[in-house]
Amino acid sequence: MSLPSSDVRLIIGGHIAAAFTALVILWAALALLSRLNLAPPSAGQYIADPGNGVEATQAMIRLGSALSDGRTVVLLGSSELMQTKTGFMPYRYLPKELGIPVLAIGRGYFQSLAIYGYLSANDRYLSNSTRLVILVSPGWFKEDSIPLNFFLTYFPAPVLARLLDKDAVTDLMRDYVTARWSLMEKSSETLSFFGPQTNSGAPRQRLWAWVPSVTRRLREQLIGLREQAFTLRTEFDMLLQTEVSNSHSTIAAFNTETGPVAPDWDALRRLAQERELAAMAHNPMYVRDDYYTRYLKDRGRTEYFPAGMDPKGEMQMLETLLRYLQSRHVHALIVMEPLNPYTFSDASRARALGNEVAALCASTAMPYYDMTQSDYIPGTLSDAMHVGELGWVLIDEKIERYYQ
Amino acid sequence: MSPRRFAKLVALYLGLLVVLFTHAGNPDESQSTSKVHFEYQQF
Repeated sequence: MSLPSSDVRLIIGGHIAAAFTALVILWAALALLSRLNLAPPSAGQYIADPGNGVEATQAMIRLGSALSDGRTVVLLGSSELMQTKTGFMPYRYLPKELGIPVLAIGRGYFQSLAIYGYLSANDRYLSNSTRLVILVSPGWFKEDSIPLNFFLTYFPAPVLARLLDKDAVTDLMRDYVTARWSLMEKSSETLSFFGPQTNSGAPRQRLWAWVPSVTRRLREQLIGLREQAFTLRTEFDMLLQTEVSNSHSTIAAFNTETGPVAPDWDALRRLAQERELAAMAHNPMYVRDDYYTRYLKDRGRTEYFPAGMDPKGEMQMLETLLRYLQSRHVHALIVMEPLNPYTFSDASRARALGNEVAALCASTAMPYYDMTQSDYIPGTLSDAMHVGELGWVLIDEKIERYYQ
Repeated sequence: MSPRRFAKLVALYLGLLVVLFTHAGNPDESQSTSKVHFEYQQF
């Protein structure tokens, strides 16, 4: 016995309507759940780079959580964050002694483009309660843009998947990736969306030219949904303390014995300088002795900035970043780091960069701490360009005063 | 189709989609690489 054709149409129509309704319910549930903050709070954490796969998804969850909880200071910077022998490093000192949670992200070349990408990937978590500190180094302006392998390290597929629907940053990144496409050895499926775009082809094919763009949009949506679903699963795993990876481990825990105490910043500055100077007692360049022996002993004082340096590209990217933050009502504390004048004969050129950054901060209403403008105090940096104990205390103090 | 049957169908498809997205929906883990490797210089 066969069903009448009208019944078959009704059954198929019912299935299609049911499947569509299920899709809408799932989409709405994902959209709702992804706004909730499921990641567990933590004290002091440092993520040098996101890794890939689950690790990268975890890194994004931690960042989103920290940006939205209204308590955690998110510290974004580059190689200065990697130092291990600095007790006043914000992600060690602030959580442990002052009870301020800190999440730090970055290593060499994690600068304006990467920071803009990471914040855009977590766009929904940005608000005027976000506590954000960006450490700007004069070294950012030495080159036009970051090397490709650093870009690929900072933007694995799970990070890129969150950017597919963010047109402004996607366009910027597409320009970057397309210009370097010939240098690519291998591209992930997600990165291919940021690569060169193909044209619609011969005139007779134009009738169907909309097909690839629609297919592409659907594939983008699918990748975004897949990452959203995986993020939810990972968040539940993190809540249940069954993380797949422990590479993003907590660096500092809250000091539960004494609790946070009001800091005596004058005394801390003296202590920090004493500590730093003790580590640089056997050389004339006010850098730590091991660094002097390794890099400077046979080299002496040199120039830092290349002759034809053009800071325009990085400065424009920084402006784009600050304008984006302004549009999201985020008041980020911007810190401009100095160079060591005992190591570099042209260290004072960093002041001109500091002035340009000051103008950008003024026009975007960002609070600004410029360490290049005052006379250099030995111990501020631990080497030629990386913040030392005294410099970290000065930055800790600014963060504490600004966010308390 | 009765509302009860329709609800059952929606639940069935929802279950299928949840399974699809939470189990088969692993992220793209293929690593992109560059032909040119560049190390960060300390100096």
